[in-house]
Amino acid sequence: MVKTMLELAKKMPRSVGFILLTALCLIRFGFSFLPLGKLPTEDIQQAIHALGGIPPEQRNSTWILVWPPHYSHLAEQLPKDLMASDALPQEQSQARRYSHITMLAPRNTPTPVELRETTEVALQEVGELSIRSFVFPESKRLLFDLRSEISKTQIQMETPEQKLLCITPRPDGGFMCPGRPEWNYLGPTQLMVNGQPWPCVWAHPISGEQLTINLGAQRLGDTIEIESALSDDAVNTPQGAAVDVRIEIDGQPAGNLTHANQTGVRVLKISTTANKLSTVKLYVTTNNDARRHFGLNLRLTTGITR
Amino acid sequence: MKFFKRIFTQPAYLVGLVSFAWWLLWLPTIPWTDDARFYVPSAIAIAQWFENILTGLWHGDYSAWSQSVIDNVFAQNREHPPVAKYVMALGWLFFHHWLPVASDIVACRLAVGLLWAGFCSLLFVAIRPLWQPTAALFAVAFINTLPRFFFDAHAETLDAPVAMFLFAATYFTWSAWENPGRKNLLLATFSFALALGTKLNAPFFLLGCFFYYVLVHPPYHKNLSIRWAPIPWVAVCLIGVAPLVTWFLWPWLWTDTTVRLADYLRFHMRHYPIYFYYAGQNYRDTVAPWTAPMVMLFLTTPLVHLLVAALGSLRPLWHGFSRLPGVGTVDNALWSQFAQRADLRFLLFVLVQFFVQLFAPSLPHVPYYGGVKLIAPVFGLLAVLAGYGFFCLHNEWENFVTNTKVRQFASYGFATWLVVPGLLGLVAYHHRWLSYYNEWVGGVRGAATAGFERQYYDLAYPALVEALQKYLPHGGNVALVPNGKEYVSYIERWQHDGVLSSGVRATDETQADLIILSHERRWQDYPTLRARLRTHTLLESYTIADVPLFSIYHVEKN
Repeated sequence: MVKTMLELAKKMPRSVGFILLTALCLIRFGFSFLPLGKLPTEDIQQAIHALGGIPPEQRNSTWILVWPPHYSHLAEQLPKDLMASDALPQEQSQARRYSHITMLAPRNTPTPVELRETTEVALQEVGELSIRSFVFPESKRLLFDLRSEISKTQIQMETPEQKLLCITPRPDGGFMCPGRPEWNYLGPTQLMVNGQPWPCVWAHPISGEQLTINLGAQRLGDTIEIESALSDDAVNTPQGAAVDVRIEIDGQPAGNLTHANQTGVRVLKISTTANKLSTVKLYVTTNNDARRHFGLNLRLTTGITR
Repeated sequence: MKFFKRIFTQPAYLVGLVSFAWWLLWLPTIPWTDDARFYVPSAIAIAQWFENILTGLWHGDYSAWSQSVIDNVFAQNREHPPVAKYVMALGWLFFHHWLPVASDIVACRLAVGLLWAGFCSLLFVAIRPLWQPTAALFAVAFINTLPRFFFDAHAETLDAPVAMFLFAATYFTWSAWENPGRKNLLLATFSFALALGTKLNAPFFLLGCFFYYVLVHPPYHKNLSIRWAPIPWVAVCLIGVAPLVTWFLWPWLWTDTTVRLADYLRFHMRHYPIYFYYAGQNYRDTVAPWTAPMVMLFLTTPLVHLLVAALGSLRPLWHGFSRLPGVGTVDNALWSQFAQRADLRFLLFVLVQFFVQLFAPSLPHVPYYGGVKLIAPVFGLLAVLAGYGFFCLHNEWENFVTNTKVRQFASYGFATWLVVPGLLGLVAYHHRWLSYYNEWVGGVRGAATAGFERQYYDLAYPALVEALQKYLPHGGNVALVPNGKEYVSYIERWQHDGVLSSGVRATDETQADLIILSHERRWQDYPTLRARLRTHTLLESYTIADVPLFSIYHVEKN
């Protein structure tokens, strides 16, 4: 039998190779559907207990990653007060809300690619499970980001005579202003600024109206950072008008930024009293809205975290 | 009667019939896609226009040809040409409007299914005379066992139709190149015009033709100037006549041609960004790496399928490579063998078109997204290469098995064995084919772990409506997150089809009795939603290989 097989392999090497390869593929395919081994309840309980030991001061900045995704069901068993998910939050590296990542996974699970920027700082093995801790490089702690949390804001167009609430949700996030042209919205977009795509919130001003973005009551950090830019196309408009951005904290003017018809991103940083609960409002206006393809970002951040 | 007799006696027709039956077998459980929202209404408008033209002919009323009517019909979904929508419109007329045997979406899909049958027949016809009937049958089996592309062939979208028309254009163009008879030129021109009138993958075909022309007839120096070989007639037809035919096929362009054509091109050259989760990173503001189409093809095609096709591409690849400057000479032995064998020339043409179609979405600033649907035209071409790959393997058997009958039997058995992994993929990922990943990456489990999206977005799985009906039999509020907008129209459709209680309403999270979380990593909100929703009662998770695709949470009301 073995002799015949060897002879077969000699005369038809490629065919035999493909027969074996197909068999291997079928085995591998079968493995990818094997039922998951049941993890001992004792191990899960111990892991839950260990996760409960995250210091209170670190809880707000700790994200529990239940990994890999086919073990996602473990997340349901974790304490409700922890932020636990089978995916990492997508955050910008300069300011993060979650700088500590604790990964709960079966032992010997490879590190997910999303954690490539982190450093592993601790490993605890609990029976068949492992709890690994990672930290992102030092960054500012993000408390609020307009682009990703635009759904929490209230948008309106104001003239001295009337106020129009922009409450129609857009498919890609943000809100449209009912009855207005399609460019009259506030939502995530990217503008070409200096030839590079720049992620921001679309905030096209309208002549004679005030675009108001009400962030509501926010727990402030030590800085409010506002960035603004006109798209490269918009800047090429002859006699393009300047766009004004004004910020109010608790009804008091806190700063303004006038964006002339020039290319590039302008930045305004305002120092704020950390931990104070305040109402933050942003106003965008212009004298002439012709091709004012304008975008902005607003972030509330605090200190350096680890 | 004669036609039906031919269907059952001519192998090519039989291949089409069996392929259609195979296609039909899987149809009932294929989820709807968000594309239905765009293409089905547009196809229906076109179908009604067709009907008005027909009845108008009878009554002498030609108002359907007026510019206002045409603009009204074709303004819908005008960012895409209409040919695939014509196909769907005919399906809608036959299977929904005149013979009400199917819902509007299914009727459109049936027409795509018939196109599929024609495509499989043509694949068989193209390969059979070049190699073995078994190789041709293998190619047909190959294409019918590619889980992702087979899904596209069931969907009311433009991706599979453009792939089919481009395959026809490839075959007929090559035929016309080899034998520039009137029939071949006509077929090449018309099939390319249909492809141009379907989707933007088509124009790149001309680039492939140019590369092939340069490879087969490299320019040469004479008297200090560069000389080119005569341009083949088929190229003249493709460049000069096919766009005109497309213009005739697209009434939207009949007025303001340049403005509307410019609008069409501008839309695609500045395509709005689309989220794409790839290799652990979410792309939207920047496009995915240029290698993404290649990687996605590699990870979502059954491995054995890929390797048989790779085997089939070795020879044309080497022949083509030998023509590159500095690698070989024009009159080398390899090339003279190539010049004598039509099948190798066909393979080279197919291979060049394959690479062009594979890399077309890698152009700068082109957003690549959603698995492999943007490179759908490569699959028909892969099937040809796989047919030749199988032929090479089959030749080995000639030396070993001398008995013809035994050899034939063994050959069929071998072909069947090679498509088993793909077949198993179809069965195991049944109606979740857009979650299919191959054995290399470890299936969907391995892919999700490696940072790839586990499903194409916003699919309306039949299991979803069953779950909604189960948990809200008398109606109630449901929130679908992270992206509920597509599901609003699905809910309306399900209610219209009578499979969902009319009292079910899509709402936001604050008013919901049930929340359905679609596990799509491309949405920025997904990680937070997953973390937040786990505080509710999980009723059910719909999974594939334990990887959740959507989960249903019950919201306790205080």
